[in-house]
Amino acid sequence: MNWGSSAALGWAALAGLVLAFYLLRPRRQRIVVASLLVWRRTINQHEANGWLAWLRRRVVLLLQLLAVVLVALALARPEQLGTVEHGPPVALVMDTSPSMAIEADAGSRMDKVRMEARRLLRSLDESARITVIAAGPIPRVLVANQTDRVAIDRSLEKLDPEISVGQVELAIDVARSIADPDRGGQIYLFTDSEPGDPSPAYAGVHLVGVGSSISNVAVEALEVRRGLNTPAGVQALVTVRNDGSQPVDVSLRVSPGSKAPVVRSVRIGPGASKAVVVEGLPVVDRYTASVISPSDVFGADDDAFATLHDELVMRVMVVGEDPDLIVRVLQSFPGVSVVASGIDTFRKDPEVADLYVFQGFVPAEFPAASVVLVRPPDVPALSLERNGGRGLLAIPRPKSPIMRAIDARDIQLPNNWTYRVPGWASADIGDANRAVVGHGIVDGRRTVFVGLDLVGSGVSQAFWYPMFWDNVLRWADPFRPLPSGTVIVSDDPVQLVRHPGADRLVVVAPDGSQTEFTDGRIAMLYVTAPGPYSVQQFSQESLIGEATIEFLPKVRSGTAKLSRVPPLIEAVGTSKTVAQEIFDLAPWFVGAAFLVLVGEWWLFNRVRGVR
Amino acid sequence: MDRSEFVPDAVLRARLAQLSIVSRRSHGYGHTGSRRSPTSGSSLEVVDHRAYSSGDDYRNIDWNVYARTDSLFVKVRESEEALVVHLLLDSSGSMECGRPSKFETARAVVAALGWRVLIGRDVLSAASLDIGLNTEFPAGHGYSHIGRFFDFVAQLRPSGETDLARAVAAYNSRDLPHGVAILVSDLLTRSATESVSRLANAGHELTVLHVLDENFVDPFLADEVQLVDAEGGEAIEIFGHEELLRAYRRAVTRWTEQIRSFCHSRRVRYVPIMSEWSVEDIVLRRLRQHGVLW
Repeated sequence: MNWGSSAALGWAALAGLVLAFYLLRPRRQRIVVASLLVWRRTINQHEANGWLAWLRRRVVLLLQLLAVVLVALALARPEQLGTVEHGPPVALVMDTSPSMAIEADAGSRMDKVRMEARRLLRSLDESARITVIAAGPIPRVLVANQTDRVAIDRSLEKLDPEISVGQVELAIDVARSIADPDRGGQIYLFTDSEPGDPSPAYAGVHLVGVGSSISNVAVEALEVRRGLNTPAGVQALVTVRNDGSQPVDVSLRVSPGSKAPVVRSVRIGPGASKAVVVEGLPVVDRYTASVISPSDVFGADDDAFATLHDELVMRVMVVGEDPDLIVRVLQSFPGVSVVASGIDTFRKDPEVADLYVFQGFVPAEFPAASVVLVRPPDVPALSLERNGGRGLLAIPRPKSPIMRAIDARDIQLPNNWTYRVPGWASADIGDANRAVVGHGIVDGRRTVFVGLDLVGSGVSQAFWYPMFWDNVLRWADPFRPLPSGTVIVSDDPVQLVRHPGADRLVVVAPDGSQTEFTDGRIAMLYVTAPGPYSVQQFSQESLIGEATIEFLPKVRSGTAKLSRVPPLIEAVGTSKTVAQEIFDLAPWFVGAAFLVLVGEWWLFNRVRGVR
Repeated sequence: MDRSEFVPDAVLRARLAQLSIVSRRSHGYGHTGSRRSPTSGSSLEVVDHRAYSSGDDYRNIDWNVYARTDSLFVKVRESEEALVVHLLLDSSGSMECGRPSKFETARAVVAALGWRVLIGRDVLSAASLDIGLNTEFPAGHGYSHIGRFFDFVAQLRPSGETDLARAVAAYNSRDLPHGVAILVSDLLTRSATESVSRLANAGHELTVLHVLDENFVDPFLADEVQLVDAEGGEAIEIFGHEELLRAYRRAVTRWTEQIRSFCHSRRVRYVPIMSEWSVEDIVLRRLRQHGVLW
């Protein structure tokens, strides 16, 4: 047992005060009785056991002392490190697309998935921790890690089809962060639309499908953007889907706000989707796409809405003695804005960027963004240490995101540096100990180190050069959510991914304080106190998304004397998990003290009122 | 001392006059009284006849029988004797306890019984007992002794320690004729049973009126108290928790049962009375129920 505040044990000295009151209490009453004849007989028989009699005489005092000691112990914040057994995490992703409102047989598809979900719940172990996620346009977690079946059932009852197509893959991504199948969790997707060509996002997800094919035409997606050739105009991409078994001719109508609509006739094969591009639309706030077909039986998915907002641009800053080559290749990527900076300029006035490329140079303090270190010197803060030598290029690492579509053997450069692979990194070119290229996440910051001589003569002409940078940008993109399983602890900076439509982020800390991010692209949150942080995303003052991030304490400061922070959850078998938790025993001590005081009060009154 | 505190009032006297002290046997006290004697006597009641023999008083010859049978028969008449009633009152310090005190109740009972004895033709002898024979009312009978008896009762005060056996021995040494003895005491002495034995052995028909009080039988105590003996001044400290009090109540019950059993084994009437009871209740109801008065 550990004591959070052992100094509070000093309160036990109050027991001395209780003892003093006992000694100073009014002296005993004197009563004249006819004879002690019977009293002597009684006492001789009754109090034959001396110590028991002594104890009985002072039981009220002893209980008072015990209560004081228990309160002092409670104030000392006793803690015990123990284990609790959890059931497996199970996430139910409930598709709330408009098509779920289709009525068939005895109820809607939503009713059917609700029924299927309840049937699944009955088959699961009672200890399973259930998460219910509504896969609407903005996925919402209705209950998280809940074992109370009534609460789960209530959350299922709240589900209703929404007016926009659900972000199922995003919802699965959320579910994966809670119940990753790779870590003993289970994800069930309840939907009426089976993905024809399942993407990797569906890996490990159990699909529970409802409904059957009907004659339905739907607007699957509507996206608008500024025209590539005529920036003054707007381009709309409409995807129309035919769920039926016969080809249909549909009339597609794209309306820019209240202005005159553009109408297109489209023929779509059975079970197929067709993308229609409509160009030259005027710039308005809101666009509507509608599909009209005489054979359509379900109207809720016939319309789609979109608003125009300029594409996000990733701001990249290249800092080094010779950044031109890198700047030039990065400028060729769409959606990337590149700024070059000399080392001295950067030191004096660093600009805000989403990704920094430091070439042959490492700043004293890393900015709150992703970083790419090109031929860096030793960086003790990152445990990055040059190893010297070469010859590692022929050792590509499987599934390396940085070397995607590149064969390491094609990279023939004369001056490569190798580094010892630090604990936070994975090697992309190299082995487990040494690497020329590696990547990893340090303190919530995506970091890539590159030992290749990327500014050498003729390197930029190599066919793999733009592919390499494309891979780097893709992986280091700060707008991507951190992969599931990333350990986030307090004191680590955390980069918040902004919703594309959000113009303001508000983070509410556990103590109620708020942090607002309105300018700049990267919202970097520095967490100093553990607990739940609420992240709210606003678009023009309306709340469009809310999530809660729970930060665990790195070390319970001043409480548990642990050599290391225990892992949150360790898998045991495939069904249940055991987690180590620090149990706060103070409430138990307070409860015990209360019970002792009640007992003391009862005894005191019983003795005083005895007849 | 105000006599009204113990002298029976008119209502009690009227009802008491209709009762008499019960004696189960003759005690052979020669003084003529109001009680039948197994020996022949000179009362007006003719109980039998027998043939005349020489020496018989010719005044007893039944001439009516002689006229019918022509034989001489003499009338056999009933003999009447007086009963000696001994009233022994415990006047030790322990009798002062209770509310009203045991002594007040006991004294009122003794006064009522004494009055009843004296208005009959029985003989009354009374004494107060403590560590020895304290004061004594010499044997006497008749109305003329009532005032003196009440004076005797009025001057009694409870005090001192108890040694009933010694006091009874002193009383027995007076060599008074045996009769009905009524001992009124709380018996809170180690020699209680011995004193009962001595009185019974002296030939008395003994009745023990065991005076108790509510505080003694079922005491109420705060958590810690010091109990002081009313007689010896000794003190003990106790913790008045319920378990101890239950044990005490059991001990009191056991003690009174022991005395009752002892009395029954010695053919002694045992009448427990509480100091809180009224004199009328004790005399007119309890003593009649136990056959002391009839």
